Amino acid sequence: MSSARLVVNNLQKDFILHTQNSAHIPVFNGFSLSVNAGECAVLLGPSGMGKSTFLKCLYGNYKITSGSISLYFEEGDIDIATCSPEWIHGLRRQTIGYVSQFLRVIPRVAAIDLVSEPLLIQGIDKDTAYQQAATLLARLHIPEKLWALSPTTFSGGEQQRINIARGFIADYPVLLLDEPTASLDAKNRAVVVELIHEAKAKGAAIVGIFHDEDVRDKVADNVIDLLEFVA
Amino acid sequence: MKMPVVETQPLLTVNNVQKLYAINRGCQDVNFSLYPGEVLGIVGESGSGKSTLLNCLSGQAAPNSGDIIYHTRAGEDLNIYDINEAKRRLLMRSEFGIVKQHPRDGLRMRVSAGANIGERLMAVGDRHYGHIRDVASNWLEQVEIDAERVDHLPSEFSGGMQQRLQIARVLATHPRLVLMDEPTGGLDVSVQAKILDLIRTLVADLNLSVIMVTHDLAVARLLCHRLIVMQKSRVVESGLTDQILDDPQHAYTQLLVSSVLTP
Amino acid sequence: MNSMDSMNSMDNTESANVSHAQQSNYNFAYLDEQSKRTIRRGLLKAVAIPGHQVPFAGREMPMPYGWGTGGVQLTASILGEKDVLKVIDQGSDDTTNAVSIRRFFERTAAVKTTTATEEATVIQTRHRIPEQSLSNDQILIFQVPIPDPLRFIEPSETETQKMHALEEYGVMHVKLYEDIAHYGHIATTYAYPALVNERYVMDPSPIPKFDNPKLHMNEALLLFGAGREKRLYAVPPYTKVKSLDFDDHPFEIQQWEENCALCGSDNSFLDEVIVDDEGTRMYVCSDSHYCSQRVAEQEQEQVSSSHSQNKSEDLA
Repeated sequence: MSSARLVVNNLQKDFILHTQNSAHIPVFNGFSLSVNAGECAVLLGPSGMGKSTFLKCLYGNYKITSGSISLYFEEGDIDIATCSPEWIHGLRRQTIGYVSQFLRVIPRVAAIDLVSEPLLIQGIDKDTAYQQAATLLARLHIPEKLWALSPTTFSGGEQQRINIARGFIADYPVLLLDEPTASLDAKNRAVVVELIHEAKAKGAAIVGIFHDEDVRDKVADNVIDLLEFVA
Repeated sequence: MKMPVVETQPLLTVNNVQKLYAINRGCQDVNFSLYPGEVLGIVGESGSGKSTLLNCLSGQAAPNSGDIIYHTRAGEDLNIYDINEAKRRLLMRSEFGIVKQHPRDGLRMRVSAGANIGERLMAVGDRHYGHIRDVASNWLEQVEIDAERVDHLPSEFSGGMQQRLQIARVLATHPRLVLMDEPTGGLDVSVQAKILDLIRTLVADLNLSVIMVTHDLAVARLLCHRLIVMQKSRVVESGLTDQILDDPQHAYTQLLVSSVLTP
Repeated sequence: MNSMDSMNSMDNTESANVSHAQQSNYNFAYLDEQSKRTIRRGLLKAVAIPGHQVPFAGREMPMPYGWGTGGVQLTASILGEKDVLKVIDQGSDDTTNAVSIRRFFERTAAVKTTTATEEATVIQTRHRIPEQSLSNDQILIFQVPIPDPLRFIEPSETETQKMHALEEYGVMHVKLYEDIAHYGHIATTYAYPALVNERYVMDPSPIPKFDNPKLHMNEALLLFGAGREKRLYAVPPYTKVKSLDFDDHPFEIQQWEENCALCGSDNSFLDEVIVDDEGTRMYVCSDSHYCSQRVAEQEQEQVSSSHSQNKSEDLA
């Protein structure tokens, strides 16, 4: 347990829809999980089971109903469930990377700017950030002529690769991957697997959702079936 | 792994601010802190108290009770309504910037673009024409207006350009806190993106802190780090922008979010 | 009692004594004593706060606004029986406005009038300061159309008052900036704003900027009256008055390549006069007394020099 980076304890998530007769929708309950540095935990379960909801809870995107999500630092631990928005901001800037299924960006902003943004936010100089962004975009087979364009007009697969690049560029110690390979071809899936292995080698604690069994088998150290915790 | 470095000195602290015109009209029980580099959105329907709150924050309307404490460049904590008016107006000119919804309210329409940007510089004591003009031209380029147009009147500009000019005018004196009232409200959707991108870039480059009133949740999502949701003069929910929009907790916020047509 | 004394004494009832030449139906200098007293009270405040606009209870005068009703009320308030009055309009003693106002006070106050600058104790002026230096026993009264220099950019009176109170004068430079941007130099040539006593920005009335340097450390008391706006302000003797400018575009006064066609002066403010249908023009001093005085002196010299020439011829 000494190298545990992320510990989820007894997590419960319900939705209450006030606009629809206060419908109460429980998602999961009593969910616990521990991920060590350099380890990749993969969530299993059919669609609609709450896998993405769980990742969003870890990212502070969804509020949890009860339980705790602890991150262990050299200086101490932080509970995402109770820390202030400023802290979640700090964690997103420095600690937690998140590759979502959808790309949501300001139209007009160039792909290379989007990809280098996480480094710039960390205070890394523009040249270095652009250099790294370019390397990553090239690895993910985004044609160079697209780099200066806004990804809003890109295909689904291209948009997903921009998201992947944003998630992997900053070497976050904790990575959340929501079906990063869903709309990728074999060539790019292989790149993502490589990236995950590299991140693990650098000590990242990864929680992911992969529908593709082949990818899952290549990266998973630990497979958790969410079905057991469905509320 | 190392803990992230998080700013602990707020730029602005709002404690129990109340400014009511009638029962539940205006704003009350407002509490929040704004940290350097943060963009805070205030959302809510018309009449929810957003603008009243912004007026209190911008020194234009003293609250009935409560404190608004600003941490100055010099490291002083000032309650902005405890200082005298001269000092408060100076603070508004030097450390605060206010961007109005309609550019014509924030610009002097009868003087040139250069003079509009230069006015704030002259107001804080710049008396060198050449320098003022250089700064004005630079700012025009930063907001993507051709520097050749420095002598043109704002009335010769399109709505989007006028708004960008207003932003340049406000930022020319390097304010630390910028208050914006629906900055894209009066603009065509086609020019909104450019303004949004501009604001986003400037906020990052200049490490600005921004408080923005908007009723456009899409704008809030793209620009704001944090949101405050107001209804009937009170803050009903606050938190990270994506958390508020993706997992709203309060009934009113859920209604607000579910009423939007576009994501 | 002359005007300097009456400024010092709030109780001026003696001056109400009707002199013989005065038209008996009017109080001395037209206004009633209470009205004059309130204006003098305002003037004392204005002198105490150089450049600050003081509101006053302006009266209807028997002339339209724009004809110098502000200046006339000030003159009426400070005029004493022993005062000698000079009235000029754009430097000239003999234009309609000057003649009318001079006659007004001749008839209502029966004071002595003059065209000689040095003889006058009170000079009412529209849009000029005499070329000749004034002394510390003289008062110069300006007619002012729009007293607030901030008005051109800020229409709200409460806002301009606040701006004056808080010394927020940045906008004053906006106009000068626009001048340089459009013309390459500061093109404002009259009513050129100036900072009085390092505190208040003042509109010096529509005098040419040529006259602005004369405001600085002037020995005479300078009073300004705006009748329509009901504001008065003052620059006391020996007060600093600095014309606004930019570090890289310093304040400059007008200059002419020509000299005065009549007196040959090369350092006075010149008016351009078209003399025929061909467009022939000449430049003459705007200050008519100054010009005629110089012409008279030159004739004197010529006479005396021709005398001495005759003498030397006689000797030969």
